[in-house]
Parts: sequence; structure tokens; C-alpha cells
Amino acid sequence: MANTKALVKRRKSVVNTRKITKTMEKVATARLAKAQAAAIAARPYAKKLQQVIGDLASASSDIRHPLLETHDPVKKAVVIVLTSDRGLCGGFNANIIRAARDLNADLEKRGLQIERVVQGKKGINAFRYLNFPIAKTYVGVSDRPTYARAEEIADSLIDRYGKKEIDEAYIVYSSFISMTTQRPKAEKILPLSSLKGDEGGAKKDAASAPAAAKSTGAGYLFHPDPKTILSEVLPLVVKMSVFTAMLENTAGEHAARRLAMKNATDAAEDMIRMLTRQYNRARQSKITQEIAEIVGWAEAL
Amino acid sequence: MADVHSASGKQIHLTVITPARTVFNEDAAGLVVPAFDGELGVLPGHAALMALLGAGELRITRADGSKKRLAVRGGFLQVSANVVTVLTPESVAAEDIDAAKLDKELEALRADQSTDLKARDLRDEKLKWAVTRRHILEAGKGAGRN
Repeated sequence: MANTKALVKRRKSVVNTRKITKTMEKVATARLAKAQAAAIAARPYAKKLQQVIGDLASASSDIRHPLLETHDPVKKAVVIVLTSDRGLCGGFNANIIRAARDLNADLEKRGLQIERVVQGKKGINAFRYLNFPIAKTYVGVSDRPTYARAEEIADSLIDRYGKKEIDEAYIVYSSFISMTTQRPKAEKILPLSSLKGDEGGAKKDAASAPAAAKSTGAGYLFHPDPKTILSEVLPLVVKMSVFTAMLENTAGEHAARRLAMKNATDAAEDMIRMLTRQYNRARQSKITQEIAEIVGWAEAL
Repeated sequence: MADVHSASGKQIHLTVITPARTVFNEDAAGLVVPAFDGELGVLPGHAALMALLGAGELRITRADGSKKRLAVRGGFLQVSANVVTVLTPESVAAEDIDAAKLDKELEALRADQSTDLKARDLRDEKLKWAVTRRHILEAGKGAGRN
């Protein structure tokens, strides 16, 4: 039967697919471990930053800083969208892009001019398809986020915010919740929200750092005065929120890919099992038929 | 110096944190940090303090007298009840500075003839940090172990 031949061929191809997806799963797992370690290593810094700002805020009576001031009227917003360069990671990029579109619609409703900065090939392609103009792109950097890059992006935002060239800034990325869950998130990074509560940056650490709220700035010597220190420290919050977003996004990408590849491997296994069964059945029925034919012939003689 | 350090008998716990990792997390007998306007010494029992740092060398003396030197790229110092925290965007131990790589970096930065004001600022910033590390490297070589 020609059928068995086709089955053998198909089974072989699925076995190959499984090999590929399994390897990709392993690679993603290894990368995820690294990305997760990087995200965890960034936590002490973010936490301390929160605490220091809490201390500074309670020490200085009137806090005024260009980064804290909301602009009026709000005319132009910068939206930074972080996606991955490579696909095969389930709905990871699609979810981020959906979040970016939602934000986009919101901002447009408010009549804002939007400037988009996109990291990752997948996001760039999607935005081109949607006919969204892109001001700046970054490619090939999502794998290993560096603080230097976060600084570069944040510095230009801070600079332009100070000059009132831009009035708001957002970052859209996928927050890493667990190995199996990533949630797309649109976070406002400028202007910074009020000092007392949640800082604009590193929100996920704010929950674990109630210290920021209860620490008192009393008793500290300041060198120089708290206001000057604060004005140096606040930009760090913006940089850090960009950096944490990058770290989480990378971790999320690998987690999403790991899961997608695991599902693909499982599906391939199911299919192999089914094809093997079909092949065996076909082979068996062929043999049975042959025996029947031989018996038939023998009887006829 | 040694008797000054042992005077109060207590130690300082010092952590040096960068966004990428925790660089140093140990007890120390004393340290000298590069504040924004000059060096600043911190010994056990120091008053609570917050200070801005400049790019420079952070020198740590451990209780056994051994020393450690770190390059820090500005940032922030917090002293509170013998706990000292240094937040800095970048830090590297003196012995981990790669001379060859650093020289290449310096060369590239010095060759950079950007005319754009912003690009120049960025270059100057990088250059300052590279020069700081270079100095720290040199200081370590010249002084041997003192």
C-alpha cells in the first residue's frame, strides 16, 4: 500500500520537528534562567533607590523637580515598545502589540501627537503593517539588556522632557509574572508619579519595599542639600524603570518561547503516536490481507 | 590609620550596588568614597549621611587590614547606623579592570570628533569614566600593596 509509505514519511518529518522544538525549548530554558538571574540581580538597586527617595522626600519640605511636573497642555507623548527580535514565542509579541495599540488609541483620543520608539524586529514589522510611523528602532538588543542602553534611552527622554519637547512618556512591555504567565503592560514613566506613593519606576519592587513609605529622612546629614541630591536621583528612577522593563521583557520572551516550544513538542509527540498507530494498523491490515489472499489461493487449488 | 579604624571596635557593613549586580557586600573597617566634591572617609559610628558621588575610586579597608579598590561611576552614598550603601550606575574592582580593553576604549573616545553638542557631552562623560578607571589601574601598579 502506498499509504504506509506516506505515513512513514510524514512520521519522520514530525520526528524532526520534535527534535527542533525540543532543542529550542532547552535553549529557551537556559536563556530564561540567565534573564531571570539578571532581573533578580537588579532588584536590590531598585529597592534601595525607592528607599532613598522616600528618605529624601521626607527630608525636603518642598519637592519640585521638572520630572515630577505634569505639563499643561499635553501635546506630545513618546511611546517605547519593547518586543522580541525572534518569533516562535506564542502570543508574546502579539500581546505587547495589542497593548501598544490600546495605548495608542487612548492617546489619540486625547489628541496627542505620538512618537514611537520600537525595540525588536517583531514590533517593527507589526507597526509597519499597521502603518504607524516609527521615530526610532532598535534591533538585536533584546537578548541582553544593558543598563547603558536603558540609560541612553532614558537620558534622551529626560532631556527632552526638561525642555518641554515631550509631555508624557510610556513604555509598553511584557511583565514577567511567572514561568507561564506574562502580562503586557503599558507603564507611564514620565512625568514621575508622586513621590510619596508608588514611584514611576520599578513598580513590582514597590510592593516588596514598604520601607520607602515608613523610612524617615530625619537625622541624616546631606551632602549637598537634599534638593540637589533628589534632582540627581530622580533621573535614576526613570533609567531604572526602562532597565527593569527591558529585563522583564527579555525574561518574558524566553519564558513564552519555552512554553510555546514545550507545547509544540507535546503536540509533536501526540502526532507521532497517532501516526505510528496508523502505520502499524495499515501494515497489519496489509499482512492480514496477504494471508487471506494466500489462503484463498491455497483453497482454490 | 590602623588604630583609627580599630578605635571604635565596630565594623561597617558596606554594599555597593549597581543595576546589573551587587558588586560588594562585606564588612569593612573603613572606607573612602569619591564624593562629588572630593574624597570622603567613613569610619564606624559615622553619622547618618546621604551624599552624591562623583566618578572615582572607592577604597575599602577590611578589619584584617586588607584593602580593596573599586572604580565607581558617580552615584549615591547612604550611611545609616554603620550600614553603608553605595548606589552607582557602574562599578568595577580595580583588579578586574582590563587594561587592554580600556586603552582601546580610550583611544576610540579620543578619536571621536563629534561636533554635535549632545554627542560630545556623552563622549566626555564616557571619557571621564574611562580616565578614572585608567587612574585607578595606574595607582594600583605604582603603589604596589600599601
